[in-house]
Amino acid sequence: MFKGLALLLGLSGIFASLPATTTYQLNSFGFGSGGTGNSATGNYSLEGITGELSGNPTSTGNYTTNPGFIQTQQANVPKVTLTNPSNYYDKLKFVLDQQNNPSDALYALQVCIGADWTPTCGGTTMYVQNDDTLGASLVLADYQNYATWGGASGTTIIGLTGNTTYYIRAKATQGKFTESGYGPSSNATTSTQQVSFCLYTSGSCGGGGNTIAFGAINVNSINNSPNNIGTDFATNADYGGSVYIYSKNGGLKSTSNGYIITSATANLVGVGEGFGAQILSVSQSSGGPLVKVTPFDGSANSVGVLATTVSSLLNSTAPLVGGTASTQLQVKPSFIAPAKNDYSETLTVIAAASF
Amino acid sequence: MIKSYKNIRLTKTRIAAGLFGLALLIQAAVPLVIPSASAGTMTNTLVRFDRLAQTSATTGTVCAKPATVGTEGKVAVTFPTGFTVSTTAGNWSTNTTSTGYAWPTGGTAWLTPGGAGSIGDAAASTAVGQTVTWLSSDLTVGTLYCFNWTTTTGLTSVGTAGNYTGTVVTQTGASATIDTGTYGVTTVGVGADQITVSATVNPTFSLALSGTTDALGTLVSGSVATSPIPRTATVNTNAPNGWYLWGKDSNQGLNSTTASHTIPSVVTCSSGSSANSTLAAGTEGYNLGAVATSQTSGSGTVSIAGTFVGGSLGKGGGLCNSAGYQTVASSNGTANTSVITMNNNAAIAVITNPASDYTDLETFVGAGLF
Repeated sequence: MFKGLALLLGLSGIFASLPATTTYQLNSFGFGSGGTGNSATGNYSLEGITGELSGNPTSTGNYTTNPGFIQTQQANVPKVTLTNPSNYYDKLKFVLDQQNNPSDALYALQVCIGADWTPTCGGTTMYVQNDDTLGASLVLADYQNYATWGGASGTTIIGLTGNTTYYIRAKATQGKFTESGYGPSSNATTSTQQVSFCLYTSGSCGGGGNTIAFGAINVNSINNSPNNIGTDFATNADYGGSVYIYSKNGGLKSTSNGYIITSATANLVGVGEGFGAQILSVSQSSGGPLVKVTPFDGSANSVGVLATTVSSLLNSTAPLVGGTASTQLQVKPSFIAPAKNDYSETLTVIAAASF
Repeated sequence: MIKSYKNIRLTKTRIAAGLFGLALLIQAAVPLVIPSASAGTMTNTLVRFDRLAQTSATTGTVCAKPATVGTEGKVAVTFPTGFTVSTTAGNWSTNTTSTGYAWPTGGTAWLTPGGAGSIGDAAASTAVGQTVTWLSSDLTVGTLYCFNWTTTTGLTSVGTAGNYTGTVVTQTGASATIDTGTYGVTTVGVGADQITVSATVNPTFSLALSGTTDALGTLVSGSVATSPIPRTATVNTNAPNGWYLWGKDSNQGLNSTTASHTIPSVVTCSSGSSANSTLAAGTEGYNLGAVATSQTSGSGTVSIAGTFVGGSLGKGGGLCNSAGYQTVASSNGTANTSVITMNNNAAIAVITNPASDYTDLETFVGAGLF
């Protein structure tokens, strides 16, 4: 019934031509047990009166009251919580609190970029669109019910700018002329686009090290590297990222002789000579997953070529935290690999993310 | 007059009230349908630097997937603050080759109009501040385009390890922004993006004879006898400077104890060598002829010592005893299954003492030159 009153307040605009004759005008009047075609929802209908004059409105930053008429017919003012739960750089998560509004209530979300409302937006005012992006205008289609806005799990606003604070507040409507004021604001900050990478040969990232010394190796025998290449990789990029590897010489090269134990993708058991890499293990704390890329995903003595051009070593198609991998090198010199103590190779390992 | 005034007043009131009501309706119930603004954000942006170590000159790859319909004419890549960006357009050579650049899945060559300053050209269109701009053709929304900058003269990474961001912006020919994509990159300490691998390959050498006997059978003065089954010496070595095969014999000929006679291998061996010759039937003589038969692989080229060059019946040279080992064959590099085939040749005269115990002991040794 109270919503019906508010509705009639809106309808007062329609009947704003006050009753009058050519001589008199009725400035104050009322009628009861009314109702209009627009005054009913699934839960409420209007049976009320209108026509009372209202006094001066009073307001705070979040609420407005217009004394002189009852406004409790409005939908309840909703709350909304904005968070950045996973180091997002281009989206933030919000969860609506319905505040006991019925299931057919619709909600609209206003966003202030860079500042809060005091009481007006100190930054740029935007609205959450029905495609979860931000837009400068609020249209009817952007009013969505609780379930469509993700229910208790909420949903994310997408297409945001990194390293920026967003403020959000919500209002509700439940049928025409029932729209509430905006509720309290909540804020969260997007992260910057981040890539984390660490390369080491001494057990862990903090251990450092960037050398692998095979020592003395015999011809026609398969030799495993005494230590492995450790790679830590993490990113908040929506599409994940990759770790890449490339070599300087395309194999172990004797500086003095010029001979190269050429790197190739092969099972070293079946070839006379070879050099390559094999990923032994890969894991992540969350997200990802980080996966081995062919041809570095072999087992036993199957290795991937360490070419002079860039090759993908590890890949993730989603953001990940705590990605780590261990990669072993294997070498098999042939009978004719010259006996030299200056075989060397420089491997460059890099990472990039797909934002 | 009064009536007219009242009519006018009433009309104004009705108009005002109607407008007020309309405003209320708009405000309270029906938001206007206004198209939302275009996001202008790339669907996907990737910039890969081929070196992550701080203060490294680097090449790299740029990929972006446009999200907004527009007519692209340029692409501007802004490198992170702190990176040293050459403002010489000629230092920004690019290509659109995918092979060897490990483009992300779905990456395709960036469309280019060709010509000076275009993607794929030897120079950028402009390079100002942190931003390098190339000319681009119109792109299709939803396609991931990539190109590589291929010279290290354009960019040197920042001198402090950390996480940095930059942008890739597609523009119209008039430089109006169509889409912007922000990327992140990490830099690590000096050399912390590289692994140095080292190894020592141990020296190896092997020499194998195919047999330890060579029975020439019964010699006759009318012909030259040769090894029925020539023996081979097979060398395997990774000696980078090659190898040697030496030989000597015990009797400097075929000696018969019972006949107290030697079919001589050489006329004289005091110098440690003898001449290469070809035995003639009916004239006593004994020699060794060698041929480099085959080598599976290796850097070395095998040479047969001149004295022992064989290859035809009776051709060769005599091994020495007192003078010690003579070089039979050598190589100047590594050898994988290098085979030397050796024939012993013998000839007797009609007056050669008959006996069945003519014998000689030949010894072969080898070594690599490491």
